[in-house]
Amino acid sequence: MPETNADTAALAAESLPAPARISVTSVVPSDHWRLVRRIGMGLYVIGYIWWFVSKGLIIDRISVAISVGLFIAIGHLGRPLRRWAWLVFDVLCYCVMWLAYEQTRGGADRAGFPLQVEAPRNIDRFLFFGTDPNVWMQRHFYEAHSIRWYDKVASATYFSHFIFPVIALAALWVISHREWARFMKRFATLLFVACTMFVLLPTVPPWMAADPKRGYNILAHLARHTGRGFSSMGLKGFVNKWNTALDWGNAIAAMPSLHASFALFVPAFFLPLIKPKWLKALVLTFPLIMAASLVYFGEHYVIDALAGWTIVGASFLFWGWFERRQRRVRAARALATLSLSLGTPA
Amino acid sequence: MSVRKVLLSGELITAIADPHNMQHQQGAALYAELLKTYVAGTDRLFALSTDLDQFDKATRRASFSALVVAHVARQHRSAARKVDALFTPETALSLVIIAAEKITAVATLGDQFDALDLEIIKPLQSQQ
Repeated sequence: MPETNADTAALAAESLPAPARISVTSVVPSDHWRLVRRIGMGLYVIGYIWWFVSKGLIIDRISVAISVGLFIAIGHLGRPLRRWAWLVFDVLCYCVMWLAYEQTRGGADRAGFPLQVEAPRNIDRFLFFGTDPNVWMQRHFYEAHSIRWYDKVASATYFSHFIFPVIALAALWVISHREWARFMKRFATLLFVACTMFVLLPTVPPWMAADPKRGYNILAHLARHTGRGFSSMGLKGFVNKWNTALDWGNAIAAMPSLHASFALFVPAFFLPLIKPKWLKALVLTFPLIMAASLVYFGEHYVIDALAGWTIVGASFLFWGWFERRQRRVRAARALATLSLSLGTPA
Repeated sequence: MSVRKVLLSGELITAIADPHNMQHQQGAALYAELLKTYVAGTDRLFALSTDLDQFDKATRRASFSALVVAHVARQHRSAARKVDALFTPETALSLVIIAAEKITAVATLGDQFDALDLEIIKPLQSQQ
């Protein structure tokens, strides 16, 4: 910080308390569009819930994009044209990001890097002293002929992957463009690293490694019962075919687990806003439940989830560091200019 | 961590940028203090686009890149015209942006915001 001359050296920001004074909201005319937006969003939520119950949870990316787009358009009603221009630009970036993601998943098949079959299983065995966590969990908890409460919890947690990140993105888009940009920088970094790993390390998931039809036979039999708990609650997924070639899902994109990554990402982003420690701890149990569910269903190895969490942590650390550095650089530049004008050294 | 949103008033912006302004030193010192809290991440600093538009790109980049630009749209001007005549048009516009951006504090050199339920940040009175 620059030293100022003797007259101003003692100057400091003085924060005056606010005694009983006029409220800003009583002086500024209210925004009538706010009510329109709130009613619109309320109707949207009712419509979304109705769709969820009657037709199923929207899962395919185009339907998700349409539902999110509708929500955001409602949230922007009556906003200045500049906000709409930002929105169009944001949507384009968002679409490019997802298309790149889908393409990379498909491209992993064609890149020809060696398929990881035993390595993730061996790492899990090392971490759990020779035990296969997927097999152990199914042996202790899975019952072929009955659906227990934890099947429902695990299944609902698994399917929340298709809702929570999207809700977070849509809400931030409407509430604060700056926070949306912060979220997206971290999110895009996570996807970029994950896609790179999908290409470089195509990995066979446990259910595939245990499937006799695939011929790997490196794990004891695993039931793939992911949707069982969800459907037992009368719920289902909604996937529209759209007559397009957008279904490039890659079954060997298991490392890292995006389910585990997103389950940590969303709570981690909002964690600074949560005050009570018990609530913070409660929120952080969600990624643990997700990881346990993925292992229980045979969808992922434990190491897949750990890799996903590591990338989330690295993304947050990198952008946190970058944003702090950006603030320091901007402040230093302003202070240097001020020092010049005040004739004092920076 | 909750971040305080602080609007830098038009007169403060002018005083910071103009070394010949009578209040330049107070304004610069106040800005330097705000930059400390900005670097610490406890404050987010805002300025109206109408206040920054008077400067060229180089000045804005050198002195004001730490500020978030609150863009003034036609609807903000329209709302400002409906604000009580007690306030000047510039202050009225600031109030509309304060309400829209949910800003809770104003850094200023004058007293135009003193009657409002905002946290007012000024240089120490004894030094003015």
